[in-house]
Amino acid sequence: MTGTTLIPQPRSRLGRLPKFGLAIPAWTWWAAFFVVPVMLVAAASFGSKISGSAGRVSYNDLSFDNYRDALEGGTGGTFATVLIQGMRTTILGTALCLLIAFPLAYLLAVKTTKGKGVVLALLAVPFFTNFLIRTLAWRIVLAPKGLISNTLVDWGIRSSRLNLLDNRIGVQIGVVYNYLPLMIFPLFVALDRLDPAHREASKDLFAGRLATFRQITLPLALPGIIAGVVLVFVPLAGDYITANLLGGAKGNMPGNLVASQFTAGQNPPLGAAIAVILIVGILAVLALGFLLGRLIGAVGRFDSRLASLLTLIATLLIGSFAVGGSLTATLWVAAAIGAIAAAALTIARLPDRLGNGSLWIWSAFAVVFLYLPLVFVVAHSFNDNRSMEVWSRFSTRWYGEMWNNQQMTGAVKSSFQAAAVATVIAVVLGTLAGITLARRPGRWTLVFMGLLLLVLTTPEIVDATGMQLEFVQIGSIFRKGLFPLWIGQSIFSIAVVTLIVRARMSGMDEALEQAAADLFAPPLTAFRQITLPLITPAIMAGGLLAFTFALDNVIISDFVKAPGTNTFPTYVFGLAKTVRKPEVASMATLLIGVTLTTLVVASLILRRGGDDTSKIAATLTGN
Amino acid sequence: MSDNMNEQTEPFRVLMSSGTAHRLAGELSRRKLLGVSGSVALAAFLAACGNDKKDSAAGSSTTGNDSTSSSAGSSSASSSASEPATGGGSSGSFKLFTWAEYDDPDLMASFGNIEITIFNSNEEAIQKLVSAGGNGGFDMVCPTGVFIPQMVAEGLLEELDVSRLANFKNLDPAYANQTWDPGNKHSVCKNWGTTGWIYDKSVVTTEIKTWADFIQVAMTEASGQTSVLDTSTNVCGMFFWANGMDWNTTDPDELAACEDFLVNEFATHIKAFDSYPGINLTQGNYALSMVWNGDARQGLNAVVAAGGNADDFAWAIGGPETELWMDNWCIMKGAANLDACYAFIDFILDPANSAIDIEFHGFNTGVLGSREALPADTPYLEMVYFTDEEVARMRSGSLDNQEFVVNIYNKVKAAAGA
Repeated sequence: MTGTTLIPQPRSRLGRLPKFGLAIPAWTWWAAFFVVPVMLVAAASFGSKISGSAGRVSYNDLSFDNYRDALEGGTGGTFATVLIQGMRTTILGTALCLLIAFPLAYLLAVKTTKGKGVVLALLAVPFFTNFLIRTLAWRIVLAPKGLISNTLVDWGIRSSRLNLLDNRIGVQIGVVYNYLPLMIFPLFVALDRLDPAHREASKDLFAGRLATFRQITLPLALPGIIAGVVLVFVPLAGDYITANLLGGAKGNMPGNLVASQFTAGQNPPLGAAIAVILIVGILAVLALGFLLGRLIGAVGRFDSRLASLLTLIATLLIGSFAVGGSLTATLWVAAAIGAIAAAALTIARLPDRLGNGSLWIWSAFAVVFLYLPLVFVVAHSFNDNRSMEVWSRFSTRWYGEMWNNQQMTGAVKSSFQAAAVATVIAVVLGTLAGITLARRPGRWTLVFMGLLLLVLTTPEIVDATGMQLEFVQIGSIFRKGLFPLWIGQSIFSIAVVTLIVRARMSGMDEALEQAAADLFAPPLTAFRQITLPLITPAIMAGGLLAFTFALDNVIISDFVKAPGTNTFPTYVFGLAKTVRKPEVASMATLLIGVTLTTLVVASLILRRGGDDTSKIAATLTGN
Repeated sequence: MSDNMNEQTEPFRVLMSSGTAHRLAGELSRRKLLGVSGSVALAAFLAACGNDKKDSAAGSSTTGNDSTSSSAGSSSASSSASEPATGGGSSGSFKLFTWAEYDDPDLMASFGNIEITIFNSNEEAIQKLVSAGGNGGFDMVCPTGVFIPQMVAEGLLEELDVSRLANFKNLDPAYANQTWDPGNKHSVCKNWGTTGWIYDKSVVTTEIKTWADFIQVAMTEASGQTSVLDTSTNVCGMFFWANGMDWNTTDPDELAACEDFLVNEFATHIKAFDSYPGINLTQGNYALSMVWNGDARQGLNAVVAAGGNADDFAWAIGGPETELWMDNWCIMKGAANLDACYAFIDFILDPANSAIDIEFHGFNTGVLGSREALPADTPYLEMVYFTDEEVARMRSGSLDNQEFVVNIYNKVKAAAGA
């Protein structure tokens, strides 16, 4: 207790509250709108559909029937097959993200000194662009008469058109694209935090570059790799929007099954059972991965070569599962691992400049990949045709006409309004919780962080369908206007703000607050004049992230909104299976502009706050 | 009181590390600036929204002075049609829950400010309304006839007073008083249509005449390049028609046969469940599509508009039997804009207006005199108006087997993605 004085401190009113007092609002909010909905889904999974109704749920005679239906036919059954296929897409997607992101993050964090900020900002832009728009844009690129297929045919590489759309390949490309930034940023932050002295020491001890990489860089970057893998794996496993837009009938993800049972399938209990199975599946895979990592780590302490061998075998097995499980698939995976290892070896042997050069080329490809669909969105916003995808000729007409589409402008307006309120809720509740977590830790911290992790890792579709069940029960105000959207969009954002504020607070000197108390500042004044200014950058960053997530939210919004109300994403999602008009692209282009401006403003604020590039990246991505 | 004490400007000394002191000093002076810049950005945006609100207010007023320009030009197909008549006289604004690309935007705008939300299937629409616990803010909805009893049972629809519709007399009696809504208590025919297929002749060389051919080609030449409608009834109907069964069957054996075939044999050949494959003709996404006549026609029009050759594609009505469906104007229970709804139904029952809508959506509205009001050079009228022989092949649906069919369909969807 460095700051105690002999003069008795003014007792704060808050002092009478339990330690977690300030976290109570967040706690209550989550209990009402996260825990209850998830419990409802769990309950509904044992209930039954009221026969003849449009999907009303009866909780009267509970049974395992829905689970039996969901798993009918064992591993060969249709639902089980989709679950396994979804897991394959998820694992392969996570692996590809890691593969693409690692060299890029390594180059930026370790090999680059100048221009980091610019490149990071460049990488962030696609991530902050509307999720649906950037996914839909892939339809233009991947179409059988689209860019990739046409180029290959024109260059004579292929004689027939390439089918990349409305199948699993399309979904795979889409998910890698959508979740790649979530891998890049934690990797960058982890690698960037490495002290160069460690690597220099390794070099001084005559370790080769490869040895240094394997024994110093990689182990120290491991937390970042784990964070990235979890950050990508979890939302990807629950994602069905990408599959819905790019997968056609072929790319079904488990989330599609859940969503369709809750909508056109008119059988929420079955959907709930599949949702529960999905959660169990995600947790099981994560737990397995964790155990495997622990095992290899333990073996590594005795014999590093045996550990490497085990890693190799595990990678091979997981990889061959991810690409289909057959013998040829295993061979392909083995070849791929070999190729990657060979490439890494070659790069390590190359003179520094050439090695960096190849990393640059790789990174350039990654950036092109991230920007390809955005370029098409912007280009096709100047398309004269009635359909966004079909290019006829240059025209700016949609920039004028989009303002007449009152439903779309109304949806954009609702988007911003709902996101603003959700952000305010998230910032207030998240800031209070974050401060309390940092300043008054205790046994409650564990429980709270557990809940927070659940909020972050539960597939959105589960919370979404749960809220639908809950709001239908409560009725009236929860089914009108933007009210349900405020709630739905705030749930995830509260967790994000909490984490960012907590990180900032923990890194800060508590002596200041104690000094304020010593100077007889009542708690509220101390908070207003000392704590708040110090954590403002965190609140701003958290708020910005919360706003972006809320603005981009599709799944929860689509389930909880009153049918007649739309946000821009739900509007686009509604159109997604019909004619996508260029005015959607025009509006999206405009919104990309807004995003860019916000990002620049935010990083300027953070920079003036004294943070360097790496910290900004860390803050903006919630690390 | 203590607040005042702390806000005095007298200097004071604080012990802290130099780094923290520097940062704190920065924060204290900057936070006001932050607040200002933040609110400026927000204000700018809200201002933009404010304009928008003004627009929509103007659009919804009965004068509708700027609503005539609303969504003008978003339909290129209808430019040749005659000017819309004003029908019932009064115009207004209301919220409509309907299928995509289902009414001429210019015609709708000439009536007033109609806010359209779309759905992909009846089941989806009903589920959304039921989970909304009421009308969900909508005034009107366009369900397919057979689903109307279910919607009535769920308490979703307002009872209609047909006497308020001066133009109801224009509706061909053949399309009034249907079995699923005797006496037009809850619905008025919007238009009716049928189901068939369209295929790319450069990929599919076999001529498709029956649903059995369709299945055959989808499983061979067009395997993995076939889309089917995103509706349970049509996907199962395809099997029943191909095998000479009644598509409203409740026979457990027939249903089981349907499930077995579609799930275990057919599903894997499906590329997409798409209720609007027409627009995909220009992109070459599918070689073969199950399609509604109006959407197929819109697709061919789009091909021509994009400079393509419509002769590359072949369209046909399903055989030996196929669907006859009818979509309807229904007013939602508790509709906020009841008068506007009646005015609109009356407006759309006007033959001249009906003709404009037909030219856009490509379905027969059953409004007497609308065909005569269509320009003579309207393309693909044979896809709108069918011969008696063709109509004789069409069958109405029922909800007798809906629960089974939806179940089968869910499994087909899962199996297609597996």
